[in-house]
Amino acid sequence: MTGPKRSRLAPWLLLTPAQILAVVFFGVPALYMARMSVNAHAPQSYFTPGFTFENYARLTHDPVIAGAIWNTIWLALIGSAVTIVLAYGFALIVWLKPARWRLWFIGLALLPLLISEIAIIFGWWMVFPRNGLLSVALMSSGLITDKISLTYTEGAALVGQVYITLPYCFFILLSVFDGLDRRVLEAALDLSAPPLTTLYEVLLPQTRAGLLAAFAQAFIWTMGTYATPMALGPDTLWTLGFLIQAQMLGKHHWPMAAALSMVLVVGVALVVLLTRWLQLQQRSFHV
Amino acid sequence: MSRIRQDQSLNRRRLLQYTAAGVGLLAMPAIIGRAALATAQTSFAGESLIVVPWSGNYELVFKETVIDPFNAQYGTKVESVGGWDQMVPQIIAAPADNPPFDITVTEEFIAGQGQSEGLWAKADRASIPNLDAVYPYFAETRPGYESWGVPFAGGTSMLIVRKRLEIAPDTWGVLWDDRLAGKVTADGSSWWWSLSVPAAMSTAHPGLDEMYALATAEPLFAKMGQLKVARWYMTGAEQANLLNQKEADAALTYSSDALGFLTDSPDEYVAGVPKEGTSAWTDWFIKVRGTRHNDLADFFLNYLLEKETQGRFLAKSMVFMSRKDVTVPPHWTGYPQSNADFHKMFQLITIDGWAKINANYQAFDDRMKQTITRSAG
Repeated sequence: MTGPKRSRLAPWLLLTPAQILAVVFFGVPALYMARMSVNAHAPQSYFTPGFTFENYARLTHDPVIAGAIWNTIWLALIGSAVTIVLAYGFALIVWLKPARWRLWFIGLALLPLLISEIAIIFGWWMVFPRNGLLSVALMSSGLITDKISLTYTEGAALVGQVYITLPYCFFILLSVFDGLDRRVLEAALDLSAPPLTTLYEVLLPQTRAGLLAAFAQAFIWTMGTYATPMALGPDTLWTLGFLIQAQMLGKHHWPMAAALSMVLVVGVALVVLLTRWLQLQQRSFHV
Repeated sequence: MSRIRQDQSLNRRRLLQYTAAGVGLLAMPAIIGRAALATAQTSFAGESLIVVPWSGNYELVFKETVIDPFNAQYGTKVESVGGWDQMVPQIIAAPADNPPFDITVTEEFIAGQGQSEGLWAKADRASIPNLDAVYPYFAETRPGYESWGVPFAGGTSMLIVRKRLEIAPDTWGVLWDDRLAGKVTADGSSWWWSLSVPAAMSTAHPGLDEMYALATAEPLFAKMGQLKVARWYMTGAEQANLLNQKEADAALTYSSDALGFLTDSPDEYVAGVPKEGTSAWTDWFIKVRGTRHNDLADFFLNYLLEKETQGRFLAKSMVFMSRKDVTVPPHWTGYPQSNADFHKMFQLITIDGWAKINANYQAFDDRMKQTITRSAG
């Protein structure tokens, strides 16, 4: 093999192990799921081999599914937006702080990742109820006169979602900030730019790609979770994740669960593609 | 000489034969009575068996009171694997001649589902003499399926109320009591148990038959819609949190959870089976088709029905056992004393009932979601 030909093949050869893993662990299950989604279903069975689009047809006219899709999207959108705002601020503070503080902040951000989602839910159950920590703290501080309960509200579900996705977005954004030259900030301040102007004119343009990646990460994560919104949100906050587990474990209707999962996969794929396209747009703009 | 020797030899042989026969005859009752035990102690030693006895606390108690003593007695290597509703898919996914476990617990839903998939193996009734000591209730409520497996125990829905309210949990009507408005919680995930409450209260149909068809279940859903709930819980943990945080003061709970509440907080709650009776399920342990430990599995099934085994399990739980002669622990007030009591107190969602519900499951589920939506305001 000649030198140039070998160098052309090298990247592909290096990628091969990862591609094989991706095909085996993601591609094959996804294909199996797609096939399952067009199987039929009979009572007292999980699925009946066949070929039907009945499950997809139901997606178009079932109000519960339509509501669940809407709930999933708005929870993911708002949750992701709040997450990246908080993660951006947190990452910026850590980036600007002296190195001795850095390890402490990173340790703090790592903490939620060391605890399971279920344990985190139990934690919020101690905070939000009428007799929970939050209510007692607000009463003690004199900010409220009657106990309040925030459990089983959309707000509680959002807080739970944000808490879970925050560390991932933080680390993405911190790595982006670490790639910036701090002297640009000094230059902006030397030119008398107010802090907000520096943020909009200097920092945001340079961290846009990281913001998009962090948003995509948070969005994908929140689209798929079901335990947190189910445990912290109101009785009727049914999401796609909730319906999938209900179809799998309650109704034992695997084809319907697979069809709902395909909707989720397609939705997530669209977000990933959109993010990638926006990142490419930004890169070509800079070129 | 040779003849004399032969005669002597014959005499000695005959003498030995007579002696052996005599000893055998004298020891016959003991040999017959202990044959299985003696065989088991030698032939099953070192053999392994995998059993699914539900999960969580049930599995822990089962391991402690059934599996560990069994292994200690017979030198076997019986293990438990936890499971709630994944047993049937796991068996389907495995090769037919090499199932992931040898015996699994089933209630009526899983039993019917596995039956329709052809996943169960019949037990050898001759190897399970302890079946004679079991209440007929278990076979009577599973007609046509009684030759598959053995009934070990059963669980129930129960009513639990905060003690300081001084409201006795003796009728399901308590859940609709104005004093508990907005302080009630019931199962929104396994909604059929919540639906079974108005069905148990109703006298329009026998047992829980009213809930098997959507038309006859409509009044039951309407009754459920009148519940003033704090929250429809989705998991046992959520139910516990609602009660512990005082968000709810009364709940539809289950026998396994009720014991936990009463043990952990004896001054906080009072629980019981209301006078109208309650919905229930029965735990039958069934051999999985293709098991490679058939004889040990039958032997284990018989062990499940021994008086001591059942007594040990009951002492640490709040289920009802299948044997007639178990020693009832003090925490189980009002334990049924006869077959008639079982029929009166415990209404099963039968295998046939499940078949009817499953045939129209989506409509039931949609109707439940309507109920939840309306009760949420």
